[in-house]
Amino acid sequence: MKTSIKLTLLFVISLCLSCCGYNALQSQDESIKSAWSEVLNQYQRRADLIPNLVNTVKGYAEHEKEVFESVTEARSKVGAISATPELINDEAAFTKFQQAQAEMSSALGRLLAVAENYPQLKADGSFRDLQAQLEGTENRITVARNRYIEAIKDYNITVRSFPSNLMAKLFGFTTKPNFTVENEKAISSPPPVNF
Amino acid sequence: MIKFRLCVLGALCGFLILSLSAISFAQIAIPKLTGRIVDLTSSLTSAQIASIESDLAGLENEKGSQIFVLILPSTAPEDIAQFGIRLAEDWQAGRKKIDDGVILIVAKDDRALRIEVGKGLEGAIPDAISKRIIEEQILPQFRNGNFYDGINTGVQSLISLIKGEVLPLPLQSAGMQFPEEMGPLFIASVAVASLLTSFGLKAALSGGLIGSALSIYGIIVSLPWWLAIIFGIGVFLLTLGSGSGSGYSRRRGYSGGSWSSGGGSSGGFSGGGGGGFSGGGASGRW
Repeated sequence: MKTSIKLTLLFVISLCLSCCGYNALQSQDESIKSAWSEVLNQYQRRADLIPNLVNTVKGYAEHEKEVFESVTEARSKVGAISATPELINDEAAFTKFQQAQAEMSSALGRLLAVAENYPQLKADGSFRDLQAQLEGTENRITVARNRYIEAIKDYNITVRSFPSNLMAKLFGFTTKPNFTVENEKAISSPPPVNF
Repeated sequence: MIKFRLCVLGALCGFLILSLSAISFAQIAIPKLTGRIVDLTSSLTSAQIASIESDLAGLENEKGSQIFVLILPSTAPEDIAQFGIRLAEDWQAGRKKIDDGVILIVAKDDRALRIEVGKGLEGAIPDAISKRIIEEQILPQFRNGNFYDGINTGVQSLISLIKGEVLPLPLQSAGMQFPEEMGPLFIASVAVASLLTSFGLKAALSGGLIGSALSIYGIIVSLPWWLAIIFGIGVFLLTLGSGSGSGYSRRRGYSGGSWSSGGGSSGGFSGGGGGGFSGGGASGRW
């Protein structure tokens, strides 16, 4: 009987290791990394669409210099931040990244609002294609962000719940920052369009 | 007095449950995937549905890709794109890992439609092309009230785009999916069986019972029957080894009931497991 009790204890301990959160933390951490890479991927895709979009609009609305400049400036700001997987571990850099992307979004919004003024531009086939691509990319960004937020939520829940929080403390897993909505009021009000 | 308090408690609990369930009604429920075309507004006749369905089934047999069509009254309070991604994750159009699914969603009362494209088909059906199909082929028909013509034209365009794309050939039988939890479950089964044995139950009995429970679980999660039995036998033998080893009876673990092979669908209609939708596609309004 004694050997069977010992063996049982051994099995139960190995079970504890696999069920008290260690494996869950590992797989959730990896899910976060891949979800984040997807978010970065989609933001990059949007940034890549910008030059074509600007050139197409310039073809019809050459003198709207201010709008083009703000878009180009926002794009270079976004490009200047080195978007790496490590970004999610650094709260300050993460916030800066979010802010740069939000500025990109509002600059794009203004560009598209300006384009509304030019019916020939609106009728242009390549502009419509670019607009469709931009809309698609914005949707993809939203979906990627939602998935990232879900991944962070699952991970944070595991890190904070008992008994996996003990495992987390033991191996140095901490909660990770989530997407915040800074200047929430500013985002909820649409950008003013001055003609 | 106690009875009265219990009644109040019961009423409070009931109220709480009702209010909680009311909160969960914010988003509409995902309609069940009962076939390749799900028409909740009776806009199409059954002959029309059958004709489009045969085209879609033909595409799946030829290329393996799945196109689904959903016509529903409204996606409110959600935007059709928000609803679309939830739907795509539930219906899982397309093959697993290949993600070659497309879902055409028509929200009739909202006068909105969307083509949701899976990751594997983003090369064949880029967002700009989806938008063009919507604007140039489907919406003109919808504006005249021809729902069948609009949907049919859109579906034919999607089919020809997919046919032109190089995709992995459709498999004749689905492969095996090995559930990851079998490992820890196996260890747990041996532990539980050994525990039962140390409490006095005969080693053979506890090993056999737990082993057969594990086999049945393995079959439920679509493991091949021979693999599930091997797990069951493993538990049985290990329990014998760790127990006092006093006699044993014939093993009790065997497969019971019906089983399905790997990811294939046995009865009912289901998507191919392709949940890889990243929000690509296009929407339109008429």
